[in-house]
Amino acid sequence: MVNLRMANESQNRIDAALSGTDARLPDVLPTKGHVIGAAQDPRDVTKHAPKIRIDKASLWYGTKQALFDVDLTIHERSVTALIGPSGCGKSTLLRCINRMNDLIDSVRIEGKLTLDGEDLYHRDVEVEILRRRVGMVFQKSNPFPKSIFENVAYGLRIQGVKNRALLDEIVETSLRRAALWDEAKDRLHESALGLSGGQQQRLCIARALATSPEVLLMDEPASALDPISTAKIEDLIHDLRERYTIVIVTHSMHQAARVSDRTAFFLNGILVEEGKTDQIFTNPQRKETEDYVTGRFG
Amino acid sequence: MTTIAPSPPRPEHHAFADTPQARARIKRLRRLDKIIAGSITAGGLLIILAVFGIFAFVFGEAVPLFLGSSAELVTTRSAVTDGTKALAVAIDEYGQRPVLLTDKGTLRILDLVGGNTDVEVALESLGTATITSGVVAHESPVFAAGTSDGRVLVAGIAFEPRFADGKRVGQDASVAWQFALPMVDGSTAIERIAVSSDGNRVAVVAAANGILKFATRRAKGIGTSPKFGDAAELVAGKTITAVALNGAADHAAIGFADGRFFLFDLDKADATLKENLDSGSASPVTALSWVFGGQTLLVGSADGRVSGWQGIRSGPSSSRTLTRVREFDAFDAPVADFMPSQRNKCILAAARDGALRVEHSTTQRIISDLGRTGSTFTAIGYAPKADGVVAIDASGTLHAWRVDADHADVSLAALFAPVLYESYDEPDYVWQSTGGSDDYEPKYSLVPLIFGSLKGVLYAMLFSAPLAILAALYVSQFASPKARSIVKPTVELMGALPSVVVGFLAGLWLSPAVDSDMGHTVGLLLALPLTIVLAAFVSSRLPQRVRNRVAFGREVLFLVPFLAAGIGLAWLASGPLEQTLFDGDLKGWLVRTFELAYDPRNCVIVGIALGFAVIPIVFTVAEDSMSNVPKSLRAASEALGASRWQTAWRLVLPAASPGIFAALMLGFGRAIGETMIVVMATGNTPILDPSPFNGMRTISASIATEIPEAPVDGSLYRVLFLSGSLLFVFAFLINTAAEVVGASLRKRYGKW
Repeated sequence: MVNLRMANESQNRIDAALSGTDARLPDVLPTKGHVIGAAQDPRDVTKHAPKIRIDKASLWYGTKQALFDVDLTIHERSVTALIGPSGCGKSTLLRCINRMNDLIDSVRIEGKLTLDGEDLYHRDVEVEILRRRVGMVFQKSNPFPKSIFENVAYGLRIQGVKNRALLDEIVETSLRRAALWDEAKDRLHESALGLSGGQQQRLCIARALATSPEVLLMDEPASALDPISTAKIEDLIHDLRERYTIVIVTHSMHQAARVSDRTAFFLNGILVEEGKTDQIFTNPQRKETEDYVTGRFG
Repeated sequence: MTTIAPSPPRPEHHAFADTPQARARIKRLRRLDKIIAGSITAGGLLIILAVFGIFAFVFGEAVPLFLGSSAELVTTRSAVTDGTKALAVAIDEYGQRPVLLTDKGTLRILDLVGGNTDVEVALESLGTATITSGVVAHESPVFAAGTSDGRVLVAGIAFEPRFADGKRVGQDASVAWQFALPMVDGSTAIERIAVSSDGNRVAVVAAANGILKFATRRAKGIGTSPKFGDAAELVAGKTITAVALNGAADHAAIGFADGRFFLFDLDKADATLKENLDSGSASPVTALSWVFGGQTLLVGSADGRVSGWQGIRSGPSSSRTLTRVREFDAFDAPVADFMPSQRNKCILAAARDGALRVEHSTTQRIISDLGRTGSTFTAIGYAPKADGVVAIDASGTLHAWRVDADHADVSLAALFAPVLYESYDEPDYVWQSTGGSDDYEPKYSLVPLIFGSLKGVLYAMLFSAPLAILAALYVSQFASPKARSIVKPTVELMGALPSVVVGFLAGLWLSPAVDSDMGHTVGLLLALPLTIVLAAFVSSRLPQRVRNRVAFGREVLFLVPFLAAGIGLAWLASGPLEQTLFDGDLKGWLVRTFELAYDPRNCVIVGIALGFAVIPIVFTVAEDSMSNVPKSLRAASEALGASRWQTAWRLVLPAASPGIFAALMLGFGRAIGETMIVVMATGNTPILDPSPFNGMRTISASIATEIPEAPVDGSLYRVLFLSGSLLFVFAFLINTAAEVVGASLRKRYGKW
């Protein structure tokens, strides 16, 4: 029950490096070339092991209830899109998974959320360890006012990594996975604030990847980006799903359709419907879902 | 029946409609734009102008200090004719009526301004004798003339202003009293003579053919019988070439042809030889005189050299011996005479070749070189207000100069370099602008004040910068919003505390309290941080489940029991500890072990008191800049697994560093300009000592305490304005540094 106090396997490699023992770096996934904006086939991921279970989760901001008895299972190495109109609770649910809601006063959560069967809200959980396993990419790119290198290395430095070679390799790996390496490799030590908006967002993804999380939470990662940058991010998600469990909040139905294996539709804090993405978009079971995905409201 | 009224024609207000109204409106808006832009620009320029204007005014008040002195020849006229020689000259305080003692035994009273004809008064009781030498006292218009029959004739001059309708219209001069002193037997002519008088008591020293006699007498009234002293045996066989008496008439200096001179002590019934000194030159000593104040003896030689001598202690326990400590620019000819100013440390020095200079004794500067206007000057006089000089040359022509040397005491060297002042044993930086007596020499070294200002600021910043920045970090990053909403306004309120109240508390309560109970103070100062560190250590060892129970921002409550216990223990333990470790006397132990004397008003007190002024400003600005680090950045950091401390340390501090730096600079500026606190809590001792246990005197405190007593346009007044401009320059430098460093930090950490 206290496994959230321990790091995962990749983490252990970093720890091994910290302790001086030789450690293999995580493999670098080859980035496949993709036609920009190409629709991707939704896979059936239900046979993947469940990674995150949300069991009757309710959440209150003060007296206002924002989530009502949400039940949701998120499978390993899948992309789950959370869709719904503004204020429906999808971002709130996302932030429950890495406990970012802790930062907000007066939040109260009921129900049970587990990661690999471990209770996220158990009193012994160290949120710092949890957040190393559950990375997050925010709606608005938020690079630190530091160099590109230091941005990516931040999570490692937090953990005390000082080995320059290890830092170099992980930064390169992460930037390659975030498809930013070619653009950034010659300016690693320049300020990250000099990057374009799309590049900054990919930098934030690279930063999140550098600590080797198992789950990647993405809160409307492309909403502030132009179509080309959006396409790059979507390609990236397509590559990353082979390795990470991704939960993405999006306002764009097309994006949900393009990138996700499964889609969950929220309305007023209630999970209305969850299922295979193509099924949600082509054959929704609930009228609200149909109205939303066909653009009748939202 | 209802009729629909035709709606009034609507003005065509399309955005881009090219109508006359639209054009007029756009024109009006543009005009308004211009007016507002112009007035904003003008306002900004006015502020800049005002600041520079203030600086120009403040510095302008100080400028005359550096303009140097000027001397202007105002009168040249014939004073004595027919080969008569003027032996001495005295002048009134308006520089109007010079009185000359001639070698014909007369006193000639001239009028340089009014139309009065010259008056010539013969010395009574000269009889058939002739005048062999003549001098005038430095301190008052009292002449002494030596005669061929061994007497000294003394005459006092009275200057009396004449008023009409409440205005001074002229100056009267008359011989007020005269008497004769038989010094030696009637067959010996007096060769050298010196006189000293405060207008009432007259002292004379006369040398004649190997004889040295002293005499004192009251000028008039009862007790006029003279007292005589003799020192003939002490000077036997030596040729006396110069004699001098000091203003108090308790010391006489006698110069000899072999380049040596004696210092006599006249205090005893008989003159005693105090010192036998070598002037450093083999040529005869030709002129001797004390500088105003009677501390420095000037020695002039036949080879033109002029040196200044003052009593110096060679060791801490030895007595002062006259030592040559000043060397002036040498003349080309034998030194003829000195005439000290009666206002400051200036002296008028004449050489046989007609050279005439005003020099400043303390700084050995030539204030005015009056040049060689005539042939040898036989009589020189310094106006009582030190604003004029008269000299009569061998041809009987009188020259009068107006001398403007108001700021002779001030020079760059005196302001910023160590100066050997009278009654000091070595050159030192001294600020002591006023003293108890009229002959006090003001000492204007700005170095102790600058040092004091910087020292005060240093200790204030040492105390308050860590506190303010860590408090800002805590409040902006760790405190619960509720605590923040209480702490921030409270600290800001602290800044609204009148500094005079802070100074009062620090000077009259805190410093005596600390002084009388140092053991407890030091105990608490050590215990508080230790307790906090201990509490932090203990809390970090607590199991996660306990730590998770504490609500966000409430962790500080954990400190409370620790602090209470720590303070209590420190309070109880410091007494016995002081008893065991320091024999119950920490102060005495400090002195014995580190030779650190503890003054009650010291830098620690000032640091704490100034902290009250500095902490609010540093805290507020630093807290703002830390709070302004966007939440999104902090969220990103925490989402990467950073703890709040790591986020604060690795992200917030660097990102807020331009603001923190600006906060420190603002605090620095506040501290260096702070006045009331330092006036009341520093002890105002202008000393150069980095010890934290003594006080200081800052520039601002000096201005505040001394400007009310400084005569307008006087040296002190202008020096204080100069120190004010120094403060201005400090502030300018600090702001510039803040701007430059801030800009580079902003460039490095960018804008988010």
